[in-house]
Amino acid sequence: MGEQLLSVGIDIGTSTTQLIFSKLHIKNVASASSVPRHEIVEKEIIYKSKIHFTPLKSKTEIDTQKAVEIIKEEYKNAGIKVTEPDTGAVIITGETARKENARAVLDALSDFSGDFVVATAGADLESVLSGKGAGTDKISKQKHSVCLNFDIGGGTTNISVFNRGTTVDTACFDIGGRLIKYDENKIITYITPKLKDIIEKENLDVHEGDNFSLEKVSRLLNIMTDVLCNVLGINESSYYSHFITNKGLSNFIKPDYITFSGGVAKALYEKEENPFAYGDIGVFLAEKIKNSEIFEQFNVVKGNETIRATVVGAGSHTTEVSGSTIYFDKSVLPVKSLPVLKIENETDFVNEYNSKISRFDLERPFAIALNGKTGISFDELKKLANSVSKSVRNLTTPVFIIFKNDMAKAFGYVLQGLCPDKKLVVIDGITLKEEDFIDIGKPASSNFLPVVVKTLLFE
Amino acid sequence: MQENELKAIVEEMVSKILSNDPHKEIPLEKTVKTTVNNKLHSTEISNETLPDISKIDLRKQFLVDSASDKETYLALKSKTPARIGIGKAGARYKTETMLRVRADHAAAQDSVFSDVSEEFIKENNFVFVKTLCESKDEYLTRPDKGRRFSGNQLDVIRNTIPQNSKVAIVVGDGLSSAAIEANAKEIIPSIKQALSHHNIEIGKILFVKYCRVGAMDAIGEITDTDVICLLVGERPGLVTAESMSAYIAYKPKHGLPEAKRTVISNIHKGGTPPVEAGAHAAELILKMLEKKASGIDLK
Repeated sequence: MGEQLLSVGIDIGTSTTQLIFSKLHIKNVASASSVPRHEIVEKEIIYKSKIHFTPLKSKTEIDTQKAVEIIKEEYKNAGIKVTEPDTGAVIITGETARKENARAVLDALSDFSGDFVVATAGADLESVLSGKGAGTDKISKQKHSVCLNFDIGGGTTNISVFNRGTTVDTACFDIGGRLIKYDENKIITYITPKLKDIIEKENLDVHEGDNFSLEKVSRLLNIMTDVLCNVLGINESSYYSHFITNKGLSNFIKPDYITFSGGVAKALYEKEENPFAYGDIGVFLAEKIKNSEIFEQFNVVKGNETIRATVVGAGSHTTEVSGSTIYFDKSVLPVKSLPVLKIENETDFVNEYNSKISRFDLERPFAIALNGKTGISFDELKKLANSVSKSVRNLTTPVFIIFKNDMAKAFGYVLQGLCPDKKLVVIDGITLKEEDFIDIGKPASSNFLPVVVKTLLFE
Repeated sequence: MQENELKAIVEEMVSKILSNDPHKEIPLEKTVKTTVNNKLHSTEISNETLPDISKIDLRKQFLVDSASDKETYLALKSKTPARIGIGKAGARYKTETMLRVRADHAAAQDSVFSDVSEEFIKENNFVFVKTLCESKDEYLTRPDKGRRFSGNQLDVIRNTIPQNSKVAIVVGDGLSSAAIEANAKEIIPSIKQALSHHNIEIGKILFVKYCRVGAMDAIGEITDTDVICLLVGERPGLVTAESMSAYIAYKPKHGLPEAKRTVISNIHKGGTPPVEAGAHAAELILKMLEKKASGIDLK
């Protein structure tokens, strides 16, 4: 009775570009006499790409054409046509997201990858995806504990914290393995601006064009390791805020377990024959972390994935399924990147809607998100539908309403009765926040819709 | 009673048994007096009302003393209404748990033995009919009578549901009157609303007292209705007494195999919300009209 969705994950990171395909197995988990309820019961990775270096045209520009070629080649190797995936995410992560043409690359990739749902990442989403890809959420759920994952990539370290399987906090720091690069002659070719600031302040003898010397960068590696220790409450580093990408942890809970993922984590667990092979500081940073207080004071466990954590997260953990009793007009699906108008106080719908609507471009569809009262009566439902119909009457776009609680089908019928000419999509079982974006896929043969919820695009 | 007084009494009893002297009496008077005196002090009249224990959400109630990880236990408890994490007093339930079990059991019994009120039937403009049962006791002991109607009741049914109707909604008390009073008002307009999109209007609604599921067969038999949706109170349990089912069948007749009924169970505010169940039921009804089948025949 199960159904499958083919999901693709593409991650264009600071240093590597990767792709995976996974099968999401979806089943009706409700008993025979109940209203159906579909859930993703298994996520099976069916193809992992090679790990490619992210093609760059210059220090500030991604080579779009080459990136597209890499992805095309991997589709071919996997034997999957570009139109096949039902859902998935293309994400640009780490430093790459800050390149000048990041947006153009995403557009190029989403265009050629057909009709499927596309997501882009902000640092928060990236943190969550890497944690889920590493399986940290599962460890947290199984052990009923708080687990923190460090995804240490080329340009950034994404941190996610899970409490009993639920994401509770994220953070991002500009710490990674490729903040300093050198060529085959060990001549330093690149140092990130943030490290240059420290080099100046600390009066260190490390410059682009110099010979790379482990001794000379040792102080920098120590500083970065100290900042990571600081995240866990071990000592304080004066450079803590200097390295913050967008935000540190908002509410520190001492984790019971720590996992590491990302390219640098790979070096934590596997011995590198030649630490200079990658032309960066990744292996040396891993060594410092391994010898730090983190391994002394915390219970470090191995996750499912290291270098592939983010792409596995993007491919397997971005898609949710809506409730199974919903109301929709198939002709308007799929839709991508609908901005969310969140109504907090449903009893005052019209006023709240009016005060928020000015932020939206009325030419383009957007999603109205509501919690919906549990155990709502039919009269209350009608009243709410009345308010909504008044507010959306003048919209020329299809209307999208997303509830958290189970009421979408009933609400859809009532609302359609009030505005018979509108194309409606009313779904439930999805929790949205103000400033989220949502993609809604095409219906599978059963009555649910695949949904991808995204946090901010390019912060 | 003071501990030393008790001790004295016990000592006296023991020594009496040991010495086997029938003349040595226990000073009973003294014991009674002390008890009475103590009681007099504690009698005070208060205007306080006791909190309603049946209002407590069992999923959030935690009564284990000195648990090593209360939060994890609560996280597990949130997934089930089962009475776990209730601690114990010796080998027994704690008082609070014991009272709650009895309160829930009483609520379940009440909903079986009480009737759906006349005002409720009037308020919702239901047309009242009764099966062959004359009392709750007969209803419980004679399921066969809960499926049949007398001649004059059949006339009422004929006058309420026109011959060859497309869809009829019937409400039956079943084993829980509380379920009907809690959910019927919410589910019926929701079914109607969804059906009206397909230009199907629902006429008058029958209310059947002492109703078994098979009563819908009797109604189908004489009205030849295409689809009947019977909303009926489920046998109550200790989790909720307000759970309702919708039994829906295509052309129900006497002798209809149970497998040809489609059921949506567990309709209550903690299960499938009645409003949403109504919209789902309406779509099932439409599908039955289209496929001319119900139950396991409805693919």
